Amino acid sequence: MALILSLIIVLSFIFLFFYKYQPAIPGALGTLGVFGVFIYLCTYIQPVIQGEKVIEAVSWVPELKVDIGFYLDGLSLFFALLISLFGAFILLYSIEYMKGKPKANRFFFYLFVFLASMLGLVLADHVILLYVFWEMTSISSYFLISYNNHEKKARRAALQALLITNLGGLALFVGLLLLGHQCGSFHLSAIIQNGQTLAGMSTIILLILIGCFTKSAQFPFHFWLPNAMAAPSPVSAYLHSATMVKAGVFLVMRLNPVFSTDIMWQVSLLAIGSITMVLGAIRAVKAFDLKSILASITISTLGVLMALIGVGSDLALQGALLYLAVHALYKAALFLVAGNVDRQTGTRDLRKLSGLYRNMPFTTCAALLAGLAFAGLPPVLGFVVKEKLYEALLGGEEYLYWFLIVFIITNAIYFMLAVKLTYDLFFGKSILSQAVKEVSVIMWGPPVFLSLMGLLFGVGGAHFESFFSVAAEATMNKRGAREIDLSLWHGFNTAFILSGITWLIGLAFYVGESKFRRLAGITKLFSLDHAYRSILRHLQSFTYVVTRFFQHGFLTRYLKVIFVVPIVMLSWIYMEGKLFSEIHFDNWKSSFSEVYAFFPLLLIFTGTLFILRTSSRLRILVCLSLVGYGIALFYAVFSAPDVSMTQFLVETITLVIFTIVLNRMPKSASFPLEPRKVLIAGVSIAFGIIITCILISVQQYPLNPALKDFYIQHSVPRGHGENVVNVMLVDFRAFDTFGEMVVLSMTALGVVALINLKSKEDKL
Amino acid sequence: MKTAILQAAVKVLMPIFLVYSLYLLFRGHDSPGGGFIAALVLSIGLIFHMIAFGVPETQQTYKIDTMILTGIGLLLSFSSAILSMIFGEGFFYALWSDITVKGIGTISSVLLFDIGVYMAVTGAILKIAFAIFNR
Repeated sequence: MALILSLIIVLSFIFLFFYKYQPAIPGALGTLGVFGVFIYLCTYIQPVIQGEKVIEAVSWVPELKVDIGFYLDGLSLFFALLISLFGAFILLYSIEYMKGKPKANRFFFYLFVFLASMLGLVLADHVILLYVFWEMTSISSYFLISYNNHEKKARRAALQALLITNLGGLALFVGLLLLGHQCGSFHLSAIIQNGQTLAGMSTIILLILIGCFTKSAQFPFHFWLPNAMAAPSPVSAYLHSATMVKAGVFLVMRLNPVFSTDIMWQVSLLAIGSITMVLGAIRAVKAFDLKSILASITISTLGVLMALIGVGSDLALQGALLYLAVHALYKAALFLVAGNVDRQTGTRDLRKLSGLYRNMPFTTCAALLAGLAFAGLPPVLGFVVKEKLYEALLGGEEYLYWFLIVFIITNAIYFMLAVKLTYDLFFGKSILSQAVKEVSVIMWGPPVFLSLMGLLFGVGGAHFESFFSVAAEATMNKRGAREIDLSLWHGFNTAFILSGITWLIGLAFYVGESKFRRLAGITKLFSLDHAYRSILRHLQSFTYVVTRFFQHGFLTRYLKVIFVVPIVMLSWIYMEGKLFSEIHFDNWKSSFSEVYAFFPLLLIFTGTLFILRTSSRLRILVCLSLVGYGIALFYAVFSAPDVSMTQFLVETITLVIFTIVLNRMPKSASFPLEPRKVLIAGVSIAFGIIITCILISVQQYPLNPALKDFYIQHSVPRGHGENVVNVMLVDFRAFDTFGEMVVLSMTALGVVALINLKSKEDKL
Repeated sequence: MKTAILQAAVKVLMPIFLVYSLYLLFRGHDSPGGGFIAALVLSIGLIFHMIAFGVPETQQTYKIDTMILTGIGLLLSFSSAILSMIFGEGFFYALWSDITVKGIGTISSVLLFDIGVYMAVTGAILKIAFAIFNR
């Protein structure tokens, strides 16, 4: 598994660096590579059906017991196959779609990073690894949504998606950690074997569900998904309908064996799923933009999946898995169709499009086939699955009948939308002014093929039954569930009657569309987009106030804070520990043993005195340097030549740079007023006293010479140098020095950025 | 401050600054000196050159791009750490060769590190100085 991921990452870099020069070769290589991954994964199908589970682990952080572990069973294989197959098609499509667009190499790079992280997400065994991949999908999605980064809308949508999914991601992280801690293992393969009730179950469930709901765009977090349609069409098809948004569903399925008996798990999934299902369907009715309709249907379908997992019976879980496959197939196809239409006509507005079948016959074909699946008509898989779901709900508890009714209405809306998306769009009178041509085979091939797969599964479903059964079994907490029956014709039973009713209601909706649309206006009340925006706005103004409070921009105030805080804290420590009384001046005589020390002292004293006497900036600067040189001389006297040299040089550079700065500053006439002078003098004196106290205190305690002796002893034999200070800097503590170099470089950058700020831009 | 006196003085003094800073750099391991101090000496010289002739002139005369200088410096220092790892030792483990060059000292990864410090610090200080002077 690790090999697959590394292969995809390598491919991503090939695209990043070589796509610019020669788009065809990486294109072919990438598509073949991803398709190869799909074929490779196919070889696992037979072993997995026979009940084999593959576990791979490479040590990563052994101290924390985190490893790069992969776990392949029916469920993860199902998802991995879906992701790699779709990846190959989407990639093929994108190569044509992105042809000639700027920054296309970055687009493919992000797409591959996403592909790798999505595969990693479904295959991960260790929960930390799963979380890492989870966040990586969010981040790559962020870059893909904001691909058109010159558009404000795209940037905002990307940020919104990132913020919301990351918020959920954090909750999920805590939830996974708690789960791992309670189960005693951080490996999913072990966690899902756990049969006992865990302590703090409801907290864990809540946190994990928040993560899954944000990722899978469930109410109340659903609003980010329609906005994410700012991404290029293949991205919408791949990330925001077929794969990434299914990550939440995947995790819920994966963990279902652990939680399935918990009432809170079932109820929240069923409730939130149902709300999202209805809300998404009604939103779709309202919209005119092709992609926006499709996005709303995606939200709705994700709700269906969540609710079905909440129902929890064998049939419902099997149905959910199949439904997921059906949805991925037709939705990706429809998104690609929308992309084709958008590219060729320049609009995605349903009101401006009609009768396209004359211009785009193959795209129409794809749309019709996908529409069949979407509407749940025979003979495609969509029909079979819908029948199965009706059956599953019919046989269940009493409250499920309510859900069944809502589900039927939702399906009726789907039927109506399917008619709209196929009949209205492609048939009827052509109202386009310009001539529209069909896209090339690379662009109509993938959607046709994807929708054909639906037909293949529908007619020849019997061949795939055992695989789907194994995949569905991984979501249950028991073994030996019923085999899935995928035969197209189930007989004239209740489920078929319900299907008929669905189609009739759907037709009625289609006829009375304008009234229905007005009714759909109420969903606006449920949109939290406004709430999100106002929260963001208030957060921004709050941070602005806080930042302005601390970063006011007055140098003198900063300095006062810098000096007053240590004064207060240190004197508090002295008072608390009654250390003032311990200060005595017995050994002051030894401090003056060095006669030469009087000269620098004189220099410092003179410098300070002149600073107080003068009011010219330049003179103050020179006097300050005098103090600095005095200190440097002190070092020299007490035999620290390296430190002394450094101090001399730094003092010089400071003096020179300050002179340049002073030369460029406006001449200020006003000097500190008397009361402020008193305040500054008070702070200075207090600071001086407290530092003096500390220095005297320090002298009273013997210093531990071990460290000093170590360096002096080892400098020559191990550091090959007689200058201990330098050996420390470049050898013993080289990493520290390196860190300081980086800091210095960053500081230089920061200073330059500050200096070059134009006054107009000098706003937060 | 383009005065003839300063310009003439800087022209004479610059080579001395340059040589002296290199001298400090290479003798640093056994006597007072080292990459940081050498960088400060060189920077002072170059800053005076900048004051006397202006930033473009300094940049041209010495072919300095401060950012590249800093970057190369950081890269050199870091490569000394990687070099040790390539030779199978720990991160930043000092490697010593037997080659001793007169005036430079023993060739070692530590020397490489110190040269990196020398370049990075010079680059960073000059970047700040140039920016302020140009303002």
